Amino acid sequence: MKHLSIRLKIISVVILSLLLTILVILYVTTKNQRDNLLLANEKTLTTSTAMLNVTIRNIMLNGEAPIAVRTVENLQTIQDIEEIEIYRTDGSRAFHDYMTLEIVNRNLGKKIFKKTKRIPNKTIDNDHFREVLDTNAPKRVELRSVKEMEYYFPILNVPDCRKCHGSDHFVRGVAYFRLSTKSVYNQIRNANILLSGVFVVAGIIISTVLVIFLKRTIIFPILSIGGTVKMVGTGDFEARVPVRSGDELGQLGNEINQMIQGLEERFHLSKYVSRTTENLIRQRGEIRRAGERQSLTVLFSDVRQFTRFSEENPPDEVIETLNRILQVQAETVERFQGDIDKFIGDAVMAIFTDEYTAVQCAYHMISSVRAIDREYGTGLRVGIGINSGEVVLGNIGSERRLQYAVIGDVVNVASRLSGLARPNMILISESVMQKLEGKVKVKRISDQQIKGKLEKISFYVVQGIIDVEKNRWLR
Amino acid sequence: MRTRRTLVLFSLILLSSSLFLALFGKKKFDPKPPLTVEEINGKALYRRFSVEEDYENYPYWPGHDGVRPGQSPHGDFHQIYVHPYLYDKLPIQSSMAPEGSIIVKCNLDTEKEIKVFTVMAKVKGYNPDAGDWFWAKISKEGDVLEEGKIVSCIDCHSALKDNDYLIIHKLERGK
Repeated sequence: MKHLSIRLKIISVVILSLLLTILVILYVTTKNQRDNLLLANEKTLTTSTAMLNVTIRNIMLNGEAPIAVRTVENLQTIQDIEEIEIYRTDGSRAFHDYMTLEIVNRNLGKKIFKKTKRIPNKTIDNDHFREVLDTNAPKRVELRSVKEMEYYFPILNVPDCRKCHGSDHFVRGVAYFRLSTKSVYNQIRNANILLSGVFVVAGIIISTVLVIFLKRTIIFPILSIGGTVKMVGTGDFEARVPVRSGDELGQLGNEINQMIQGLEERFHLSKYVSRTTENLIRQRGEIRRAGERQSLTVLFSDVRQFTRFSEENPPDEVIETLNRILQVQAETVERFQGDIDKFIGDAVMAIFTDEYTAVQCAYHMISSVRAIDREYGTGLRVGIGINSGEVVLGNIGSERRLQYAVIGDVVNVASRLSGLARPNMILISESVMQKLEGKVKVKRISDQQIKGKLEKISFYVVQGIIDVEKNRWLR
Repeated sequence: MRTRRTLVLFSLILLSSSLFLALFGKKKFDPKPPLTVEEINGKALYRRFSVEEDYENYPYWPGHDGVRPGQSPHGDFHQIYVHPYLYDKLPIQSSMAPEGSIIVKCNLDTEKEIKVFTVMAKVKGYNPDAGDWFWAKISKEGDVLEEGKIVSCIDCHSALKDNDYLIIHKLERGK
């Protein structure tokens, strides 16, 4: 699965957080608004019911029951009032028959009320109605599914009523109101639409501002750091992280720039340090002054007649030509897994772990330098000396400046052989020859006195070397 | 060092537990002896249910908890607290509330804020003709507005004489 980019992650987190916040705010606001509106509705209803209760009671106390009936009927025409009824405690509709009228007349001992026209009967029987009769207290019921509100209001047989209705009961009946709350929900819906719009616009603006801000302060610096590191990985040490702030990312950018600078310096430094030195530094972590003995093959390559060349040519050309010759020799050494120990003027000292590779390398070094001569007409050639045996390796120099060097008689002899070799000639010592039986064609030069050696030594001019891979002689 | 850290941790746990209990723990209700004929008056009754025994520790009538719609003369909404002397005896087959019964009715306005307390207290020998109830109307600040054998209260509640003048809950019914 492809990983999400940090830019996408941050933008997603910002947008999701904002979306969540907006939803929560919207929910809380809507709920609060809904509760407030319903509460306001409830307050109005409570006040209206109390007023109606007082009105009906006063009308009834004055013996005007038909007016009370008409009042209740007319109230139903008011908007949002779906139903208003007065029920007796048995659940039948009040004023649908003459029962109450007859009881009142009987209680008063005279026919005070005439039998006026009655209204049709209907009944009520539900838990809320029964609960109101049981507790003698009003009850409000919210019917959310149909967006209505019911209100059950007990009509109490207060002392003023008892003269006509008797005192054998506490509740005379229940006033029932059913109101529509659609207008309330419409208000809520409209407010929701408005709020949602405001929040969406605000959310988009805030998201955009946040994303731009995060892009500038976090995303861009991180991507810059990533891009710079990638460029450094490809070898571009000129790349630098653009630092535009002093915050943690700015500090990180600065530190990375310093690190790149350090890498660049080390990279350039590595050109001046032999691989052996690098390996030893890596392996040990600390510089040891003690030496060690190791069996190695040492190769010396020296440019013939370079002094004359340098006298006859301008300095720029001299340096350019020398560098070109040293460069191809160094590349050849590297190709054959050897290690340039040092450049000494126009000479190269390299070390190898085996003799055959060193001779092979020498052969190709000569070919490379000849190719330069063919191309640039330098007229320069190299002569190469190779010796092998036990050498001493160690750090040589002062505490502040050390050089990891290979020293010993093996090195000296290799150097002398190089000095003796004519252009395009490879001279190898007896010890090298012993390891190359059958792999080289040589011409023995016996009992030669060389500088720095008391005894005479024999060495060999390499006339051909076998290419093991291609099974043919190279001459 | 480790012992000291454990001690600090233990103290913190103890402190936070005490704080939690102090803030949210239910206080143990300790009812006072019923008010007598000699002691009863509006001030004493107010002190009893609001100071000596916080009425909010009283239970509601069974099935009639919280703020409920009300009606005149008791306000648009009400909350009714019943003294444990009465509540704990429910159901009462004799339909007679025991001595020490107190019913605190918070009369609330349309904002559901307390306007006034209307209170009934059963005091043995106080008014044998009307159930020995002492009636009081007390402002939320504790000013006694009406007290004693209030005729309007007795007249209205007398319609439920069979239930010892109590309107909301039938005494012979359980909790």
